Amino acid sequence: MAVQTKTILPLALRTDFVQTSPPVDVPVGLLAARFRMESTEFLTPDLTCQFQMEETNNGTDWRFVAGQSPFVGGQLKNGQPVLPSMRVTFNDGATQIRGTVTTQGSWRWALVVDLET
Amino acid sequence: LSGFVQKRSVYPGTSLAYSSNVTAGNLLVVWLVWTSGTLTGVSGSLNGAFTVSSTSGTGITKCAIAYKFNCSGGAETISAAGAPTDLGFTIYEFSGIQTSSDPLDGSIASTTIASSTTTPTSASFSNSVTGLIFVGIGDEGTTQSTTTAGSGYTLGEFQGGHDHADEYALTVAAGSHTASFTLGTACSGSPDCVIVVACFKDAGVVTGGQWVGSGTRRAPGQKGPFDQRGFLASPFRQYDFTPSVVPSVATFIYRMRDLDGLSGQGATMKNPLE
Repeated sequence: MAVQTKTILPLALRTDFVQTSPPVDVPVGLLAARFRMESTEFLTPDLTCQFQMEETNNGTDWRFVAGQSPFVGGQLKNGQPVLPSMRVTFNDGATQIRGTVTTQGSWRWALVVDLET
Repeated sequence: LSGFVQKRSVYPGTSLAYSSNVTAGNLLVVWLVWTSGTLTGVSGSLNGAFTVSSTSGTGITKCAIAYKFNCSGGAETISAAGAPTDLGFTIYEFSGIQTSSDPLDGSIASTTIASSTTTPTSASFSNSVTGLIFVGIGDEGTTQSTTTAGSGYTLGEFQGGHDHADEYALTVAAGSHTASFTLGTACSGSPDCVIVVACFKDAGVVTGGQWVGSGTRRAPGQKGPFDQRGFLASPFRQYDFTPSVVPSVATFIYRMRDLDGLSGQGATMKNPLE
């Protein structure tokens, strides 16, 4: 498996933020896409975050793929803080995908997507 | 006979759309794994509420199988309700499953893996008629880089960072079975690694009937060679099989062999429902 990572929203301080990423071209043989935040800051307990992923076959008609339940900042898994992310597998002919991020609370982060082929 | 149509998975997430429209009459299966909180239901935007198994797992891994048989056709998005934390799930569509009544064969059974191992294996389970076996594994305590299916199964979806995975086997003859996975990293021991199994009946499996017409009659399920004396002397000879229950869609599984035990040649079958 090869992973290609693209930064689609650059690092910035974002407060009560809702934004849809630019379209990301789907590489041939895409198996899965993971939208995730990258940050140099530790998560704050007052941060909440939600992802939504869409796909298109023609660049104009966007179709809902998956949505994430609200992520709570500072959430731990196995004792480690969890960075917000969402991974969805693909087996169809989508040509582009995009993600929408909704956050409440102030946090400095970038949005990246890992394309697994 | 059962067939795979499509699948997709998300982690974490609470809603997920099928890549393609689902086909009317098919079986939709959902495999869900989460850490805590309560799953109160699973539903489809098109097909409404799903049947959901009891939650399995007493540790940090909770899991359940949900399904909808004889589904309506069209665009479908699956949503999980309640407040399951750290939820990941997989959606499947299978064809060729019994539609006339609930195809679940027996009950959905779970196995908590007793100790850390790279080959977690379910307890023995059985199906009463030929059908689909669907198996899910959840282990919230371990991240996996690789997971492969057990012997006789096809690996479905695999979310190694969670960790949840699933496998299935199509058109499995009635009998006693187990299911296993091979993991790159040893899974958690009890109570955090759980395997859940569901069996579904294939459509059109004839479970009773009798041979009629010329030749030797055999009781349903009776094994042994059909008396074919004189068969080769005739260019055409017909035997009729009358099932005791005739499903709306029937597939007859039969085998013909010569008296010397070799496979027969030129055997044909006419479905009386066609």
